[in-house]
Amino acid sequence: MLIFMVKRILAAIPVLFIVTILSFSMIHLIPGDAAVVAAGDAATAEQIAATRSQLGLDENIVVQYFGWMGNLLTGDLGTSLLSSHRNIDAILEALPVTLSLAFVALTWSLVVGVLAGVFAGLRRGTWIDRTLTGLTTLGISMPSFWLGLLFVTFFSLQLRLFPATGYSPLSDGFFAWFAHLALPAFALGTVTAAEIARQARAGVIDVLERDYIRTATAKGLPRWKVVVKHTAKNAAIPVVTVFGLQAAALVGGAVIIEQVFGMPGLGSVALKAILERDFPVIQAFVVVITLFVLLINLAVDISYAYFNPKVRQA
Amino acid sequence: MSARPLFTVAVSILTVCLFGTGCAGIDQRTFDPNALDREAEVVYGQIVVPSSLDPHRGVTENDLPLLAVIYDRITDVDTDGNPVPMLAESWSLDEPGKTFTLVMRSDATFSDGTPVDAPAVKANFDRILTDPQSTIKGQIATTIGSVDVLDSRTVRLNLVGPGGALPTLLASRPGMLVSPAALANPDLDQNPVGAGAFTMTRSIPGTAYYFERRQDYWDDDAYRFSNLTFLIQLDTATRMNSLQAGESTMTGVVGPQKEEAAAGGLQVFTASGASTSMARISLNSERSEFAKKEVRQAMNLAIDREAISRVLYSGDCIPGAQPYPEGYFAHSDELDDSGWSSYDPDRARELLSEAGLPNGFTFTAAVPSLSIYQNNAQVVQQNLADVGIDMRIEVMDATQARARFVTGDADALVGQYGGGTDPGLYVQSAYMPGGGDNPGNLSTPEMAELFAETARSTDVEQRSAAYAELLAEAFDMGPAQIVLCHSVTSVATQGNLANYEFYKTGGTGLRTLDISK
Repeated sequence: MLIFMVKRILAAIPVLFIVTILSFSMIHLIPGDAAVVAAGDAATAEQIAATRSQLGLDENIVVQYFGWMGNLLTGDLGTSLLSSHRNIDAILEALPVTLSLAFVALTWSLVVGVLAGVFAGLRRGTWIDRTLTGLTTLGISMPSFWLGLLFVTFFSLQLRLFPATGYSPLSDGFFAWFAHLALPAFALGTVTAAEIARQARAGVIDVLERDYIRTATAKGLPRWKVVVKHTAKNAAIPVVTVFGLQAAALVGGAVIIEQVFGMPGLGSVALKAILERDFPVIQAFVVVITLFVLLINLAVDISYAYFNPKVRQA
Repeated sequence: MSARPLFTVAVSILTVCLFGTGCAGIDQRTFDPNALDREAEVVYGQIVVPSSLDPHRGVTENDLPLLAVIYDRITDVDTDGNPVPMLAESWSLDEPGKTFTLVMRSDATFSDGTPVDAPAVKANFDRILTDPQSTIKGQIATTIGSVDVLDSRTVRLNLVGPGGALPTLLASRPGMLVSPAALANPDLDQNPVGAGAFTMTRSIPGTAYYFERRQDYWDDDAYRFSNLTFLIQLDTATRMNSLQAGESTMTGVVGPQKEEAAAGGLQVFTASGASTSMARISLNSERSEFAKKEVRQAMNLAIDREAISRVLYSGDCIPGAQPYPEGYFAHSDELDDSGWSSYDPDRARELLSEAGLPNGFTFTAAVPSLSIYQNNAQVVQQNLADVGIDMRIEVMDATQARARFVTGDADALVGQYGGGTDPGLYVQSAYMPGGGDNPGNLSTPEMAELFAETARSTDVEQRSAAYAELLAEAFDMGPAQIVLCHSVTSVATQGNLANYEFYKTGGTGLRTLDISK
């Protein structure tokens, strides 16, 4: 298992490297010019050119990349083009918000998705199954930002149960932290919950038709034992797969949801940087998000190896 | 055109009232002084992201709402845009116009305890004029050559150009004083030190900025509340939700948002008149057919401004072809009567024929992706089509749109101009060669002299007359800026606020705000 983990970590390094090259190239392909922003509202073309030179934006893209990469290898994520704010500080300020949001969203989606999926799978063909399946279709179809706006209208503005906007750090108390996260996390996690429920249902139905389940049932094992001991682990494999994919996709969704709920997370940092063509900030964001996704993938791979020993041997 | 004015109907429309002008006309009810909550916190929902809290290096008007509470200015402007004392008690332009003398007030200090005195003023001007990263050098370098300290409170500015605009110019960035002890701080843009009423206690750059009112601020009657937070909320729905949930105190609103806010039980204050912020289309006179004066004049006459105001702004954008709104000293009544402000498609067609283009022509306008700009563009497109001009619309984000226009890669740009505390800023940018909004360098031989004339005296009436002449010349030239209308500012607030003042030249009306317990 340890060797397997080391192999996976080593395989992630070239991926990170390739992602930085691709993202650096793509950012520079975005039309627009950071020098225009940095030079000011009333800057002339000459002043913009001078600013471009001053910021090093007229350097060859390869030179810019290696300069940035050199700094990255020494742990320096750089500084914004437009202010003295260090990127590492911006990210560290925003990271707890996005991680909290992702954590609550994933927890909610996992709990709701697995419970709904298993329940539907065990009650296959009944009205309960049909109802839950219908709800999952609805959940997958609804954009999280729209759901977020609905939640705000109903739970914040009408019922006054949750804050409509903002974020409260955990240090201010668990309840304040959770109250601010509940609506955005539920909105963000609904698609994932629906996807997990579908996979869990399919997994449970698939496993329940296997011979060893029939044997276990025929031997007179109680139903709960059959489900927990023999069904759950095998039915979990597709759930883990979709959970990993959805966790990575959730990062993108968080960017939008953070705007809807006015949360000072990584999404806000990224959006502002993109609007201003602040390349160093965008690059830092990409690196952090790539690391985040690679870690999720690593966790998924390890989970596979746990659930399926054949993977370890491979 | 402002780099992000685009991204900012915002700055101008939503924060038009942060910075000294007179769109007066608000709820004039007053609270019992004993019922005021001087410990209150104001949370201001702002749609635009500030670039920097260093007043001399910032790049966008988006900074101004925050800068205004951190940095007092040498002068201020009243709600109508006329200069009034602030850190300077008085000023005078000498008769030959060679020097401009400021007498500073004696009771003001910076938030670090340093006194606001003549050496501090000199240190600031020296920095603006010599700092390679200064973004406002161009605003004063043609006026101020050097600065002398005459005594602890008296400063003499030695002029290299007409100084009549200084009283209004020094009410904006060039007059924002930074503590001399902090001028060299590399992180001044994040940890500002000014002489304003508030000090910044914490910030999450681009997201939230927290301020505390100074106990030792020189004007006890200003900013009658204790804490101020600026929340950056890019999404309009988020700002409205935040306000309706009671999580913020106030925010700028436009068009249908006013009705939404009122329906949600909030107060809406609306300015009684237009501000200097305006919707406009900028043309590059070196591209398409815009080198022809008759074409520019025809386009100006082809726009149905009344319809734009009525349909797109619910009347909250006062139609006008000139760059200054009614009630502002630089506004020209003569120009209103001249016919250039009319909607006259027949005359527009005649002018196109005179230009040798009876069948019109085609051009492409860069349009920022915000809906209001796209809406403006579509109505203008229809207006121009009616006289035979085919305007193609190319939608892109605001940064790209601005970049393409100023670097000469776009025929035209649909956008917004935020104004400023002195009307000369617009002239410099739009009518002078090398101006940021004038990539085609369109001007006339007389324009520079007329511009100088507007700053020959500090007397408002004299300046007003000079502006009337300058505008007559500009419209005879056929300006490369097609003004559509001037914004009327509104804010939505919680119910316990009063005395929110609107300024014609932009800015928040927080200075006079009352909050009841």
